[in-house]
Amino acid sequence: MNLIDFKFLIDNFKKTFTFIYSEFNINSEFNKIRGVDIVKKLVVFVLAVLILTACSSNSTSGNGEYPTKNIEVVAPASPGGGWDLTARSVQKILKDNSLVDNNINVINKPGGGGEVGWSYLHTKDSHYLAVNSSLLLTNHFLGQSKLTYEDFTPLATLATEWQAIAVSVDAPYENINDLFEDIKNDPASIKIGVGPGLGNDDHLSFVQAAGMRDVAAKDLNFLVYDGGGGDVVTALLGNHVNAVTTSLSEVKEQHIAGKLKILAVSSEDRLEELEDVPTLKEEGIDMVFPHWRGIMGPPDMTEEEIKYWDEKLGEMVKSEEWAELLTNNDWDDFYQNSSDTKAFFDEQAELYKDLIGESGLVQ
Amino acid sequence: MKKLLKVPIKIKILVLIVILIISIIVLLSAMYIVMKLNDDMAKAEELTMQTAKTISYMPALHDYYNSYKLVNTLGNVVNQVKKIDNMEVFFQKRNGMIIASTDDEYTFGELTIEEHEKALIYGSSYVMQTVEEDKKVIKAVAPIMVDYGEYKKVEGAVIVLFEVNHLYEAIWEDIREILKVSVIILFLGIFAGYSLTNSIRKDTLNLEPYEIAAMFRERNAILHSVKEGILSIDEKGMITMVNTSAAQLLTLESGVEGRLVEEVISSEVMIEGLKSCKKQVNVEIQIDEKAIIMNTQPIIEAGKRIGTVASLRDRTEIKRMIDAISEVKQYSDDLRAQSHEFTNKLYAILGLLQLDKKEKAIEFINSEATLLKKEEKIIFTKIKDERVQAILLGKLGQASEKKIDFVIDKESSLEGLPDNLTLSSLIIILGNLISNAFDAVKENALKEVKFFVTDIGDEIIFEIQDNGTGIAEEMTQQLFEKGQSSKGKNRGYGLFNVQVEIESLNGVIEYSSDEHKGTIFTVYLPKEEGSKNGNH
Repeated sequence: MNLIDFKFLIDNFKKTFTFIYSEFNINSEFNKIRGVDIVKKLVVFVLAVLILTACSSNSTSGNGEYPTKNIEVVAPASPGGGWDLTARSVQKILKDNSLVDNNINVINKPGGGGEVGWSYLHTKDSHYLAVNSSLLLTNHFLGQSKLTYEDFTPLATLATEWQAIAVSVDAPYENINDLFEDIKNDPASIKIGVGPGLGNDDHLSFVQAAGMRDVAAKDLNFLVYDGGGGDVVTALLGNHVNAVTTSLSEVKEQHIAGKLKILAVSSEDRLEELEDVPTLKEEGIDMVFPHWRGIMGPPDMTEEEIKYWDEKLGEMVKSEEWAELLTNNDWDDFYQNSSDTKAFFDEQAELYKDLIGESGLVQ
Repeated sequence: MKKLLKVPIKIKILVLIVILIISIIVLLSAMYIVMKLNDDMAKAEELTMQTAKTISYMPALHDYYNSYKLVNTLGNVVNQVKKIDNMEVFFQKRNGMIIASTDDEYTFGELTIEEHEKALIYGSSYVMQTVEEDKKVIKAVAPIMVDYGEYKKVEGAVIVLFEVNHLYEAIWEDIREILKVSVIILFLGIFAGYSLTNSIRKDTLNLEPYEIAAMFRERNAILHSVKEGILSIDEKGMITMVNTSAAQLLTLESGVEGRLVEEVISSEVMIEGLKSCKKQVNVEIQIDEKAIIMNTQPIIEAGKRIGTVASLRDRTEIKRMIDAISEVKQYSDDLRAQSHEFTNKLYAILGLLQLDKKEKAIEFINSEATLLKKEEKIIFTKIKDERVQAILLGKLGQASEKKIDFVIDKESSLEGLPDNLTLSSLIIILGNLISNAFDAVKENALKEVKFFVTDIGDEIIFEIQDNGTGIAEEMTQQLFEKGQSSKGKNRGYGLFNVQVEIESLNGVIEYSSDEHKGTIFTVYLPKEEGSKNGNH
């Protein structure tokens, strides 16, 4: 707020105050008659104070000087996972390309399937960001979290992985529909490996696909492997399970090596490096299931701040380092700016709500 | 409405206190209930959730799955969890079947098992508020995640129900405690209100406020109806009350109450009198040509003046009263003198008759008759005004008694006097001047007073001449001043009054005096009010 504005407000404040003061003192005997007037003046006074405070609070955030201190990127997981990798890559690329002058730190806040890190972000100012994924939405729908995606400011969707459903090489299934046929006939007999827990995208994508083939979610016989993708694949290779649902990156190499068979991927189109694997869509299961990761800020970020990150992250995803990162991790570019991400979240929220609703969860 | 106003103050205050206390109690209790309920609900949810989770992790439960599902093992688990207060625990298989529960009485009947699928399918644990068998319950669901070494599998769910009613009961207990204290406070309040009103009644001489108001209005009406002007000020000189008469007397506009006396009253004498700590008696003050007599009564408290009440009377009114009295007195004096005179004459005639001097008696009667006739003839023929006639006749009698030769000049003439010249004015002017002349010749051997009146021209001229000793040189200065008299104490208002009266009629009085020859007073009065300025 500039000086003239401030002076004007102070003057206004003084006037109002003097007026009320005089009303109360000089005309004290007419208080009863002029009560209404005094109430009016009081309202004006309160409004003046409100305007004053509103202006002063604006002045702290509305000066266009953002960021003013270190940027903290929250990775809501232990070091080593996908979220951590995303956070550190963002940190590195933004710094290396001098896109952001301020220091950028990564904070690991593991626990509760992202819940701990996001709760932490919720209390912070706009210099804190956090990496997110579909768990941000599903945690809420599964009753695990009170926070919803609407409690944050979406800044960008960065990249996505695709889901894969794989079976062992000697399994009698030619395609995904054979598998679902078998499950339908005897749900308990088909053991499906998933990890590291239930309710993640690996799990949900399979539930959704099964649902589209009229297989009830509660009939599916999931075995949960704490170790995640790696353990699941090991279990498949050891024939402990009949099928697995996991990230494409976990099974791609084994598929190419002929050690297992990927029945379908959840992408829109067939992937370059796996031309022989059909998409779910091609198999008549009309769904595309990205396992996306993005970045978001705390609630109530200003237009300017959102615009700042739209610029910086937009620049970032065009960099060579980012392209390299995607290739190295079998991620696909999935960049959407803040407003597109907002719309994407709404759409995803509908999807998950339906999905969990179909399995009789949302009453 | 009027009836409502007449409710005794005691009832009003008690009702107010009771309403206040009750509304505070209700409000606070409601707030307490809401806050406590929210708090307790959150706590109960957390506790129920914790219980469900803890049970779902119980090794004994996991043993049941690992050791080929011996019903016995499950029974042990159920017995263990039965001891948890107010909570019912259910064990559910993946397919939704309830395999065991602590709900022996079957209070909750068939559970809404669809609500548990989130746990069974997605392995999430959660708590919700729902309704089972028409009972509001907090339901916590936790999956039984059985560890089979390499992998884990959701084998079922633990459901813990907590009846919300238990919370209500606990809160109701608290409310009962609050109510007990509230009732005590309520009685305290009633007692305090009762004492307060009693104390107020004591201060107000057991009068209800509306009675006080009525008395106050009455007092105001009395003050305003009084003919005397009444004005009161406080210690600072602020006017606190002015009645109608005072406002008229002092020509004050309405709304002077609350202003300083210096601002509205010009007379310094009055302000001084008002602000004095001493009682003022009959102080004469002059305001806008009005003579006012003021009496004050300072209100003294602890040796300090905290206010003054002043009563004001218009002096002109008092003067009018004095005039009326003096008029009556004069007449009675004159009549007495005349009757005395006649009695004397009658005695003289009686004496002559007893001495058998008939001729002498007749001669005396004749001379008296002609003498009277001669003066009376002048009075009745030359002077047409009855009021002047009456005054002169009275004075004739008086002169006769005092053996004064009172002569009405033969050349006198008076056609009639203007209306503004009242009888009392004439009595004051003529009566005083003639009486003074009588007094002046009292000591003389030859007592002679002459009266002349004429209305030729624009003025009426009265002339009273005596052959007394004249006016001493040193007296001339203060001749017309109040209280100046050569006749002794408590006299001397005569010429002062005469002059005031003549001035009020726009007339002039003149005199000429000679040490041994006597004094002549000449009064000039304009005939019409219109010719006011003629003589000045």
